[in-house]
Amino acid sequence: MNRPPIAGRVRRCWVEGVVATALTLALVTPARAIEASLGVPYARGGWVWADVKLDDPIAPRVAESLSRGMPATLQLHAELWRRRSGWFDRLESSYDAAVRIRFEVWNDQFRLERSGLKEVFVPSLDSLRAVLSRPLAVPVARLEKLDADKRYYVVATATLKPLSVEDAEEVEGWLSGEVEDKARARLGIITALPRAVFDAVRNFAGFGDQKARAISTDFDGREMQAASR
Amino acid sequence: MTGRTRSLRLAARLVVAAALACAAPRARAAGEAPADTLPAPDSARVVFTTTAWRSTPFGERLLTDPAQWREGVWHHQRVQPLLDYNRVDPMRLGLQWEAQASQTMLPRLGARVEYATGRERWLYGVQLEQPLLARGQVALGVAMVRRTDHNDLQQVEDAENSLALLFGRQDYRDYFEREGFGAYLAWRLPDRSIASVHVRNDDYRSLALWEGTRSWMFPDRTLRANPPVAEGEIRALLMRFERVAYRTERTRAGFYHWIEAERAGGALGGIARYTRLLGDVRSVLRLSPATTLTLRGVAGHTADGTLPPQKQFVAGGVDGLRAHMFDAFRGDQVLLGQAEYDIGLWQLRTSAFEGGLHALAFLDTGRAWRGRFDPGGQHFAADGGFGVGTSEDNMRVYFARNLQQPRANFVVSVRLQRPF
Repeated sequence: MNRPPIAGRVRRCWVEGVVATALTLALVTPARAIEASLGVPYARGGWVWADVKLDDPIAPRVAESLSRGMPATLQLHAELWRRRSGWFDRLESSYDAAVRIRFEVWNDQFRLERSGLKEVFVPSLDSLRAVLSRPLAVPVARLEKLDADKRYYVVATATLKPLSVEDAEEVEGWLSGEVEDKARARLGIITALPRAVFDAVRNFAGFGDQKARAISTDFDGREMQAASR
Repeated sequence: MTGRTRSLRLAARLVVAAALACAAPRARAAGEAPADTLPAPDSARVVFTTTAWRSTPFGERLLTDPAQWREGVWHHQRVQPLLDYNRVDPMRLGLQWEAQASQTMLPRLGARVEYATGRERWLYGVQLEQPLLARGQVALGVAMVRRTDHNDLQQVEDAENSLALLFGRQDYRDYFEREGFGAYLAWRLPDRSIASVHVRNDDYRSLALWEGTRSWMFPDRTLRANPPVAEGEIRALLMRFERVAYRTERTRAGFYHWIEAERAGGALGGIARYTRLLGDVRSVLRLSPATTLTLRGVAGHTADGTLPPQKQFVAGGVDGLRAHMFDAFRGDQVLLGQAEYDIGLWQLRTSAFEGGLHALAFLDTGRAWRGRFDPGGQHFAADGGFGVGTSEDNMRVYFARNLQQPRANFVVSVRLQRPF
């Protein structure tokens, strides 16, 4: 017999659905999360840059797990949007970067790894907070891509991941004794999980992501190009 | 929070923390002053970002798309466990191994071995693809499989379908066994499509419902019988254009597609003779920083001959018309359009929904029918509704309603990912 998906007969489904949604909404309480702010975008070296500043980037929960040697990843995602009147805005370009943070237990130092840059070592959690709280300049688009007559704005999202899929895979590799040999195959059980299941377990365990988002003030393409000269 | 919940949460934390604490690094470099400027994109290679990839669920799926592989964490090889629970095997356990070396002339190789516990059957799959030109732009491949397969328009993934069967006693697919081999020549157009020509010989067998299939919840529900297929060999020549994998981040307008023309029988022989065209195109459009519009269009046409049941087009259910029964429409012609609008509610952030809840609104319309391709003469079904999601591409609850019935009730469905 054919049946509608998941929830059998519709009347009962309706009740189940309302209950599920009510429970979901009941869980919606303000989360303690990092805060981000964006400076006024500026031109430099042929690029449009925006300074992202994070406030309180290391919450106590993350500090605790970092101190135990558990890595964390800070992801930055910046987008340049063009204003359009009478229609949706247009995404012009985006930029991704990540900083992986881990505590080296044998020398009591926190190591920051950034793609394309050298590693950084800091001696304490306070130093780590200070480093991550400094404005971080993010290139969002080439100046030549800007249309002189248009207006733009930047949206930046910072995500602190106390436990990412990559970290979980690293644990799997370590447990199988193969983390040093990246050419060898290893059994990727965690990475084979549906993302929703991985996220649900991670959030339930208290290792969920923390996100912050900031939007810049609008700027004019012509002014930005003029400022670069 | 109850004491038991707190204990469970504490235990989960301890297990994860203990495991991760063991995974400390072994290297050390000299200390250096922090720099505040990130490199410009030309020199930046993002290696740590967790990018979620989605793929249109077609094909053998023995080899990962090279673009996805390049950005993955698998280096040269990977092994994945396979686990599927359905109403015919009923438990399928196995391993999938894959080896690729991006941007080289080395062959790409994928293999899978599984065991269907109930029907005591070994299943396998091997695919070898040899690049013929630099960067793999042109490649020659062969594949050989024996697998528990299902209609290519029944697109719920293994894991999600298994959970639905365990917790909801629902199976969103109809199964058959396919055993065969084939060869293909593929031409890869970077960031656009992969054009390929295939020749295949597949033997199809019907599978019966496994009467002992158990579910943890709703045990009294009756499972659908698994319909028979046309048994025997189908020999076919196929031409395909595919772009099957795409990132969920940084997405913007652009089509991701699976377009296939299949000619079976005639001079090739086999039990069936038909010419079948199927196109499935999708696009994700970022409309503003907080809103996304996802579109899907499916068109199927039988230009010649008669489709065997396993090749017929279907519409209806969680991956098509969401307020309709599973496979409510079946035929040799199909048209389906789907649109889903996603609004990120940033203010509704919690520890469970770090990016805020997502409000969803959707519209599905379409139909599969028998006979000639006359969309103007068809009465298309239309379903609409709303939903709530935990993120842009994660768990969500849909409330779907048949818009053509004034007093239709809502149908609720739970998905672990975006349906298309």
